[in-house]
Amino acid sequence: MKPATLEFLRQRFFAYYNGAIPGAGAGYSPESLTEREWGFLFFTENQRSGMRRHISFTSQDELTSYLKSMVPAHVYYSTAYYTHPGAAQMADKEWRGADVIFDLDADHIVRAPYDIMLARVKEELFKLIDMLTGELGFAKRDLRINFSGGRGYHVHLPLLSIRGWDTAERRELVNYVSGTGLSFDSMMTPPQKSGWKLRYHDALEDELTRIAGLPREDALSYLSGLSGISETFAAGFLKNIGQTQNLLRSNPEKLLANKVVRAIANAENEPFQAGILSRAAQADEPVTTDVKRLIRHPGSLHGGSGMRVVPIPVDQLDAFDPLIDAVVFGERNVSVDCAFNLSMPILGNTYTLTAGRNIVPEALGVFLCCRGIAELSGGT
Amino acid sequence: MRTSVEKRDLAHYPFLPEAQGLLASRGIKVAGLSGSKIGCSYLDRAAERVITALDGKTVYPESEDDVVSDIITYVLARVLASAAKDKRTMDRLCKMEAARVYAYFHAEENELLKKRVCEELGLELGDGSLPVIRYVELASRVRDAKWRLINRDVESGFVSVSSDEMDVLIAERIRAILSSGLPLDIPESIAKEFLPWSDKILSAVQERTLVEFGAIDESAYPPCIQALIAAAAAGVNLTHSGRFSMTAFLHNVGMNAEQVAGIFARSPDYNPDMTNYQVDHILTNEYTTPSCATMLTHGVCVNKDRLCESVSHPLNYYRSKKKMLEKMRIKEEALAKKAETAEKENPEVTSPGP
Ligand code: SF4
Repeated sequence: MKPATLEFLRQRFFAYYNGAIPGAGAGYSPESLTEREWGFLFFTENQRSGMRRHISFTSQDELTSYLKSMVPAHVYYSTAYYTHPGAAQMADKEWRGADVIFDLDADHIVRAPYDIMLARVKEELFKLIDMLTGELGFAKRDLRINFSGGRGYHVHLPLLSIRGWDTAERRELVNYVSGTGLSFDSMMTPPQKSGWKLRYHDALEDELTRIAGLPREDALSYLSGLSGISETFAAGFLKNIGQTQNLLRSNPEKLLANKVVRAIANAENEPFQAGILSRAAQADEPVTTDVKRLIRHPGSLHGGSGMRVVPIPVDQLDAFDPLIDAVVFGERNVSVDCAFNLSMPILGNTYTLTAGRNIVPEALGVFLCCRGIAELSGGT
Repeated sequence: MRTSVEKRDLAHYPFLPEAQGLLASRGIKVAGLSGSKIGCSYLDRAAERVITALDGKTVYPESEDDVVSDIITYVLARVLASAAKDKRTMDRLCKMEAARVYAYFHAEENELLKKRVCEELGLELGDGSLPVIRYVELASRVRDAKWRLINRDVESGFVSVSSDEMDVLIAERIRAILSSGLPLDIPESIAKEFLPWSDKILSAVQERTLVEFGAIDESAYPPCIQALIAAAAAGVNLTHSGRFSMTAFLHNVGMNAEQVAGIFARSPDYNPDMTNYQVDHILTNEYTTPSCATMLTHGVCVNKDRLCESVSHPLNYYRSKKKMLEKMRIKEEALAKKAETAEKENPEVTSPGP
């Protein structure tokens, strides 16, 4: 990144943290702010200068004035609570618990244009919220949902009752929402009426319907390609597939002994797994199981996009559009040098840019510079 | 059906405050126990209780009628295991105690008592379901796919659990609770007072792991033992505890009486009769090497090195060092082999300069 671009970004972030941008500011504060460790990355030409961390604040004011004067590019705090959050060695901090976090990031889910990725991740978010509140029994008011400022959402559960949980307990939750570790033997028992049993049942039914609908040759070669399934076996299975579908509905336990169904439902078998994943919320496992993670501070700006990390009340999620609601900068024109042709929707308009110099609204300019797609080209 | 908590019940659930109350009402205190004959017998029994656990037994034979003894040995067993500072010992003890408590709990007909135990252990006996948070806390440590939350019937914050499954979770909970308190914080004075008993436990641990020692490796002896051997060979008269420690150690790592006596034979004023008598006495009584703490008290812990910082028993030192040396040897051999082949293929690389 060129020095002029860096300076431009630093200046815009300065304006944000110092209240010069209408409606902006970093007024959000995590539970027990003083027990958190903070970490920051800065706008600097030295790409390798690392994170400044092991920092603690004694009040919201202290944090705010740090943000105002230091103007970090990225702001993180620990999901963990510590007795000595500012201690330089992790071992000296004295861990006292940590929020449970779910991270939904498009990186793990789809590769697509930015707006499409964001829309897709939001679907995951709704699935996640449904499972957390409907099945696992967490109250909606206990969920803190944040747009990450990048490609996804973070859901925090800052509950006292689960703060002390270790990795093993946290893994149970993340595996639950993400459909990891399903056991055929457990899933094939009635009643398949709710939760994972229902989803599993639906996924299997879809898969059997798909197979039944394939041309005979294709179905045969697919089935006999499954591990441990001979061609004769596959042919026999195909002949009775209608009956198998009925059994799945009426008496799933009878299918426990069915080798072919078992092979279809194997966790490594792609089409069925895809059916499971589409019904799961693909949260990133290491984020949830890590009890000492740093997470983005809601209200801060994401230095890789210039967008705001936005806390969103559950009931406003439907209407939330990150490409409008997480954009803090305005329509003032800036001139940028794009590295390649691109098209990007932001603030309700779609901008089609060609490689080279373009005049764009500041909001888009900041976004492109932060992403490293463009450099400031001087003049406005 | 009985509905009160009686004295003999307390032996089954010695962690109940009522059990501790019984000890207090008899004026029994842990500190100073070794000063009385009965106290020493409690300590002996407590050490046995730990050793029973070390042997992987799940049932500790309780006395027929001495409730106080059963309770105090439970308490002392935990104290001694903590004083011994050996993780495996504590794990084994918890496993045994948990299995024991669970067996009584499972067969318990006294509803009031059952309720008391649940209260004390923070268990609630559900009606076929548990809240998700509770379930996760109980089941996350139990292996097997069927226990994973994702494989359960989960609805509106509750997980269905059959009564058989509940039993498994309760047993696991008991184990977790019994082990969460360990190691106990043992005051220096008590650790010192109980040293003979905690040593007995450590020795038992050592004996049970002796199998791992394999062939004797003199270069892996800890500094204390090396110093004793050197002194013996130089004809220095060893103190009683010095001779005792060395003999026990050498025996523990696998030497027989003859070999041990042979070490003393290196001394210029060697007296075979005397030596054989002493060695035999130590060996026939199956004494085991004292812990580092005891060695220190008796002035035989000398020339401590870095490895000493991380061990609490000379036999532990020996085991670690032996492993390290073996690893090093394998590495060296591999390197030597490499150098050899390199020399063959590319002589100028390894040939010495002019
Ligand atoms: S610390 Fe233990 S092993 Fe080391 S010299 Fe002392 S007694 Fe021997």
